[in-house]
Amino acid sequence: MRKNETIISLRGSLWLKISIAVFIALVISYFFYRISEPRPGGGTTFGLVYGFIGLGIFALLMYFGVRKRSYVNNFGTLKDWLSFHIYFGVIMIIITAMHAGFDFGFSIHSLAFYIMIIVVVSGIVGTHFYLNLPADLEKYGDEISFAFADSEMNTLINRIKSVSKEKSAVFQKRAEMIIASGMPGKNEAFWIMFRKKYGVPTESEYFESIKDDVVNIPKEESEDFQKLTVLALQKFDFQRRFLNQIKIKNKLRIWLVLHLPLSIVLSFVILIHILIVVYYNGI
Amino acid sequence: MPFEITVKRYLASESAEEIKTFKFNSSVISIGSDANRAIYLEEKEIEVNHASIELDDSGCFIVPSGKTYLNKDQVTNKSRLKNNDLIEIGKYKITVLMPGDPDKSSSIIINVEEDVDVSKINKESEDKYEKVEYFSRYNLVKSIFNVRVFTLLFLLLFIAGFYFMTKGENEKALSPGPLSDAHSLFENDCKKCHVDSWNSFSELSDDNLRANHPCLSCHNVNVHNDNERFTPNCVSCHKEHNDNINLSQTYNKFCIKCHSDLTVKGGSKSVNYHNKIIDFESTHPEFAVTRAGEKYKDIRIRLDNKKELIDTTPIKLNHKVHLADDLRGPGEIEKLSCDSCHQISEKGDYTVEITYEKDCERCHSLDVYFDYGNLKIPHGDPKIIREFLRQKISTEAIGGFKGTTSELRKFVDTKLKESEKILYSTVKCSECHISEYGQGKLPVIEKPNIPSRWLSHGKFNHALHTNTLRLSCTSCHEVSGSEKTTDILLPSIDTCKQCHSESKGATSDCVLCHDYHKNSELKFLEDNKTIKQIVDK
Repeated sequence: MRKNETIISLRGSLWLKISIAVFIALVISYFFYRISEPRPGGGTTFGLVYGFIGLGIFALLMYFGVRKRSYVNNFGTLKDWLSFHIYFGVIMIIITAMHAGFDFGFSIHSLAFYIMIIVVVSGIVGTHFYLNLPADLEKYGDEISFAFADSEMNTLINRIKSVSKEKSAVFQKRAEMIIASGMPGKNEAFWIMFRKKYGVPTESEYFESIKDDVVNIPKEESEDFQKLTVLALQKFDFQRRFLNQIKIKNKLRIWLVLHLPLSIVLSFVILIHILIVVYYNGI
Repeated sequence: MPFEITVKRYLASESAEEIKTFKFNSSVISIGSDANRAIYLEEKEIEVNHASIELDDSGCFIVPSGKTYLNKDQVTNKSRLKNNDLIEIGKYKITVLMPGDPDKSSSIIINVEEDVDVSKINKESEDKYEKVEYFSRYNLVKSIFNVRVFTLLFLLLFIAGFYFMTKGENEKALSPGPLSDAHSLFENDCKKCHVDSWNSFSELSDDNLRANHPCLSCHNVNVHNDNERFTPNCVSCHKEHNDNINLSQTYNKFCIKCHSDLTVKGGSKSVNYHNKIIDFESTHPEFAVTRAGEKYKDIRIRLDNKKELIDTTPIKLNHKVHLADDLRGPGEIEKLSCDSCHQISEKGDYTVEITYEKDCERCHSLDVYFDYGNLKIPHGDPKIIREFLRQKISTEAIGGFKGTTSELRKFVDTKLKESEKILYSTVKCSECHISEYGQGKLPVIEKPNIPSRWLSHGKFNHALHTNTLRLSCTSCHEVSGSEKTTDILLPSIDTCKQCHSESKGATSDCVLCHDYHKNSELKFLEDNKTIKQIVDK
């Protein structure tokens, strides 16, 4: 990929141009289709042609999932496949609507279209994330793995526990508060994406909160309380850095939770749609 | 200039294996007890910023801040590092490996080793503190929000939904579209038509399949033409589940499929019908009248075949005279209009058959004065008229006759001859009929046999054109100048095209004028059914 070239603008937006050309061709063909066919539908000649084109494109879109996991495959570059996947994914909505003659209701056949809309919209959201979020990720330093993060977090917590061992109640209460700050709740992997703060105090907030502690801490514990403060700030800083990263990483994944499973379900719905229309000889 | 440095940590608490590899595009590697340091060393004695390893164009250096040993000697100032140098900070041993030129190397490996007894550390760690999976709880893949869980969830939802959709009345959710109005009663009963899925709507040519055809269980369908090459199945033309309100309204393309190159059984070209029709406007042939030909075999003559286009009906009629302004009526001068004789049927399609009694008698009456009375002669066969006269004479003309039976018979015969002479000299049968009449003989009159339909291959609705659209009859039938009985006063195809064309808007669909299934009907059309019978049918 050239400098400043994204998956959207790959090869001078080649796939965008191809998809626009296909879109125009489809619109023109549909115009003539409507003139010759007052009652368009999937069973008409044009409707069937749209159906077969849509099925072919859908197969290629699904093949992308196989292709991107196949590292030894030289059948087109992965970037081209992705660019094709994005643009023709959107085109699929138009082809499907034309196949159905823009007539939808409550049926297994229309269900395929509704699922397709969710799949395509989730894909568009995913594309938006992939284009914009990685740049934000760089702001939060080197990537931290889960294992490393857990290891570091346990170390910090253990050190806080170690420092606070056999200390005064004020000291221990503060240590517990530091440990509890920003601890993940239920399904936090999902909710983190919508949080602006993570229950982790900033440096100034922390110093504001320990004003009373500083007065009440016994003199002999003041040196360790300073160490506790250093550890607390280390913990908060590390948490913020990691959670900022994970918030972005999870956004980069969450759309797939709809996109991929519904694509698989869509395959089944399309298969059943085809079987029904063929089985009942309705075409 | 950034250097790439690989840091390998060997930690006793992690089974003394290489557990992490970091790559830094930085020229400074920080070492300390702060978790944000590049090399994070966990020990109470180690400072937050304990030391750093720096790389520049002149080489690789250790820059200590806290207690640091280089090759067993404590260093306090910035010191140059060589390949395999050992740095010791607290319990950690850091080995610097420079495979290439140490001054120019861009790939330096730093091994970090914890000099602690592994078994002791692990045991101590387990005893002292629990190990919490803290950040792993933010891992979307390990949460319920992962692709596998959702794939399973959606598949289960779909299977449950599909099961629900295929049960009872919900079955219609499998329907690819609403049924036509005529079949809407079966909307919730798919099996009414889909009795045998694969063969449900197979070709009608197969007698076995025809016997079990779901459409034919209700519809009595006649074959389109005995000589047709094949009989298409019903759904070829009547597309159900297609928002098709009127199922009988099919497309021209279904007709054109055969009629664009019409062949008959055996594959030869059709000779009885025009065999290249693709539309009404350009390729449909001129209309043809069906006329009884020799030996009663119908012959068809196109309206543009002026030479042969002759009305051979044996009757005399001058339209011009009848439509004149000063026509002599039974009482006074009057003006006739077309519907004076040609009335549209109740159905609105064709005109009612013309009869003498209904349309002619008012002006062309058969009232004749005889010396025994004024008689209204019946219109019909002269033999019947003769019997009528004989009966009248026998009852009304023999009053006071005295004589023998033979004399009476002779009297009646004489009277009959006189009456017929008066009749056939007063009433000119030949005015309207082709007839031969000689003295003493009964006139021989050829039966008119006026056709009830001229264009028998097409249907037409007169009421729609005259009553609804208020078209005058003469808009299509040019009769005002017609003086000859042989004139056929039917509109040509061009007359129809004035409205029925794409540019003018009126439809020119084949089925507008042509019936594919002649005289087909529903099988259960008996009278007085109850609603229950209809619903259960």
